Amino acid sequence: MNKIITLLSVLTFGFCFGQDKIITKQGQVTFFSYTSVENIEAQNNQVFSIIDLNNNEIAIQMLMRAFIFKKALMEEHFNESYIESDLYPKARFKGEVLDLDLITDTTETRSIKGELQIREIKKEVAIKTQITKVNGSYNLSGEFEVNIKDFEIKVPPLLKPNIAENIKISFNFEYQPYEEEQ
Amino acid sequence: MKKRVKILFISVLILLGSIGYLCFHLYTKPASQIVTSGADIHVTSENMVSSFALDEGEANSIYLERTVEVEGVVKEITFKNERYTIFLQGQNDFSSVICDIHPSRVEGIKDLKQGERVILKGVCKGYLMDVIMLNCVLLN
Repeated sequence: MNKIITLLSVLTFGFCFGQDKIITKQGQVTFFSYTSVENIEAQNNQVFSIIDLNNNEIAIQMLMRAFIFKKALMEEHFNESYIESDLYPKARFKGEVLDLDLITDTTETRSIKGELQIREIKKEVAIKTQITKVNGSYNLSGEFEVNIKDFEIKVPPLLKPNIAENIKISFNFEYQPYEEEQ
Repeated sequence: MKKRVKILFISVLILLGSIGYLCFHLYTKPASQIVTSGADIHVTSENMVSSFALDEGEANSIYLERTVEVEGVVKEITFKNERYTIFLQGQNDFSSVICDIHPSRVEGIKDLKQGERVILKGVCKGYLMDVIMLNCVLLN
């Protein structure tokens, strides 16, 4: 009997421990700039994110140079003039998914609150996200807007009609249980 | 005199046309093209990940935006967001070289097996928990 209890404890503890954190290395973030002159869209398919299920803390990190554009010139302007990827190669987000632990098996809407950091400038944001529970892990998706002035992104007067002041950001993260190295 | 004006007019027209064509070509030039040139650096995936884990700044100065031929063991192949990605084994189980395969060069990718040794060429974009390479093509 004692052996069975011990075995059950180990299995339960092991399961909980294994489910502590969920990660993705292939999160997708897309940004859209819509103006009457031109539409600009770029995708980053290698966004890293981790969620600690003990306290619902979420961290996201991505390389600005890993955005894929349709046109080379847009990519060059984005990295060299607007984001200055040499100086600020990564964007980061750190925050909390509110009430993540109360999600049932259906898709539900929750808020993520935290600090978005682009070009080393930090800004508090609240983002609505659709969360789906899949096999004990979660998928998060949603969209929000970022004002380029908030992150001191300077657009030359000549190109102002081409770049929207509010950039739409959409995201899709499919997390997997994080297996820590033994 | 008339002839000289005509020649001048035609020359200006050709010049303006060339500038226009050049601008149009630059504006519409597609991004993420396949790297046709030879690689700047040859490295194994284990050594590449080690370099970044040890000193990211130093590794960036060697690899960032360079064309790299990376050799390693296939850890995982994924198909997400309509793109194939190959994870090459790093120096530990957690970190890899993530190679985003150029959409026009996916032939042969599906047939690769876990554990197979491959050589991929692509452009290094930096390091998060893994080294990230875009526009990758399979060389062997």
